[in-house]
Amino acid sequence: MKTYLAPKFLVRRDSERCIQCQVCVNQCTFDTHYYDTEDGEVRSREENCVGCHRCVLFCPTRALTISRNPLDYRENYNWRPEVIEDILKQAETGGVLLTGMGDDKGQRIYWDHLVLNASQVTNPSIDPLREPMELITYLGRKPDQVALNQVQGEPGSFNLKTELAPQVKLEVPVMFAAMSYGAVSLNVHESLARAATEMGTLWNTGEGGLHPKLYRYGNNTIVQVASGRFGVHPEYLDVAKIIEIKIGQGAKPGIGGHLPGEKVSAEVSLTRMIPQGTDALSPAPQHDIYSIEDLAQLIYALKEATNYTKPISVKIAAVHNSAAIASGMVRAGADIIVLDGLRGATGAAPKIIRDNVGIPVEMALASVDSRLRQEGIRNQASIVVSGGIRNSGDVAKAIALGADAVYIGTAALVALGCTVCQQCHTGKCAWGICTTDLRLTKRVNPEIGARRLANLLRGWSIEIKDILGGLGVNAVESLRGNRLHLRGIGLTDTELEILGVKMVGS
Amino acid sequence: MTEERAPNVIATRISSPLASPPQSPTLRIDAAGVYYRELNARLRELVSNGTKRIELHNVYGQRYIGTDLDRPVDIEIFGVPGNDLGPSWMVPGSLSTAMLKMAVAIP
Repeated sequence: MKTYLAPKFLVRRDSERCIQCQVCVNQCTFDTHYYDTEDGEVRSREENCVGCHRCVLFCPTRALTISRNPLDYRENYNWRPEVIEDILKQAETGGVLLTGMGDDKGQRIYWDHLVLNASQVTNPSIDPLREPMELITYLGRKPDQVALNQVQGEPGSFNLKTELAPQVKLEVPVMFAAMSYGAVSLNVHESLARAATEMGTLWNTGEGGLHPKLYRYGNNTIVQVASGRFGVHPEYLDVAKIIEIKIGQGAKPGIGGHLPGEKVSAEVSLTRMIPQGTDALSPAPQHDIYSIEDLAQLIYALKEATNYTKPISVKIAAVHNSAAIASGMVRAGADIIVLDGLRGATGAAPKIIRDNVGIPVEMALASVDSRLRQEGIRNQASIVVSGGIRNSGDVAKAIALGADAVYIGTAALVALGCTVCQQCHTGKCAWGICTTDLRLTKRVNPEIGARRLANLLRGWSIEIKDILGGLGVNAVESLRGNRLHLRGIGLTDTELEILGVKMVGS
Repeated sequence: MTEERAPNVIATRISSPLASPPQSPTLRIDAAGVYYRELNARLRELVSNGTKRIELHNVYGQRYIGTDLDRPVDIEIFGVPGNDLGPSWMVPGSLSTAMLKMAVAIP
């Protein structure tokens, strides 16, 4: 069938600069560039280009330029080019439109409508270069009150009587979000694990199990127990710092996962504990969880299995009634609640779900934090948010809105080279990130990857310290849930009310 | 919770390839009115001390029995165990790699 889809991008090759070296041919995994043996010349099939810039950055003579195809349709606010092209794709294939990464539509990004405060005249700001600035965060259930014991024979000296639930210390309140082995490559996992270890934070295995090679990073690892239960066994649970039950994901709330059999290589098969070449299907629900009571049962099964030595986290997608659900989760025994918002990314999801289901994480965070405070149970669980955290400003705003820490997924992959071209579901990632093709995965070097990720976290932590200093506080704990440090700009009264912040100027 | 050495006769027992020789001593636990957390803590302690055979009597709905045990052990349960028995949840639909073998007998 002839396709009615015009190429999305134009490839321009400067013939004066091109030396016919074919680097672009070797680098492109979408077969955009090819060498015409008859003419002895490198040519392009522009319809294959996804705009990932791999060829542009690796062209030794900078001969390539990729630009959007300026082909215009007649103006129509309703029938936009993307809408037309999606219909054409479905008319040609008859299938569900799959995509990768997070929602790219224009739903309001509330981070961009929140601004932070700073100290002027009446309260001094602090210079983080001269004075200590504390970013340490503890995740886990906090006691309602603490009781002290007088140490005998030592007047004025006390020790803690209250037995504390397990706490996990983070040097930076930024962790790497769940991305499973199979969706991303082992080299990506290793980069994340090494960077998390270096920076004193945590990375998350996702639901594909933990490769034996990475057990040594267990102290900085969150392991996931998801609906497919892939790779879950006693050592996996024992090695981790936190165990996370995955109920939902922001990119595809209510939808399960599907790792195609072609991606289930020998190594993936070993880690996921399924036969090589078989599809790894994660059901949409956890088949043993149909209520808060069932969730409690799984939480306590995991606590029993690890002898109450580690916090149990529960991750849900941000949806309309997240606040009530979160309250139930805390009461079910979750020590950490993870909210994944509308803009959270994925390795593969139906496009229609990704772009239309769920709510922005800012709103979910504000309403969950408010609800747990109202009910007097906010101390019983830490809140972690994810889904569209782009920079340290977003991190500071999330913490001011009530988060204990954030997860970054897309930002971490961008640090490794991802250009958010949304082709993760094809398994052909030219940057070698979202693929299990061994020819491609070696494009990510774990040592360099870890350095890039650690650099990112280092940069962000310096910026967060600057923000804190500007606010006149010296610990991230003083910013946590302190919505007076935020003001809203360009928001309606209802939005301001849900966010619990005042309008700028008031 | 009371413990005593059981007589040599055992009511129902399914042999496991991992099981201990039949002459190893059996520990008998009366689980009547014992909360699951306490019961599991006791099992954990016994198994880490090298106990190979345990009989649980008067089990009445306790959940997660033996969830955290990671050594070969034979546990016989008399009564009605609650949900999430043993490590079977770790290996969905299969006990093939489980280290724990359980025989459930309702008297």
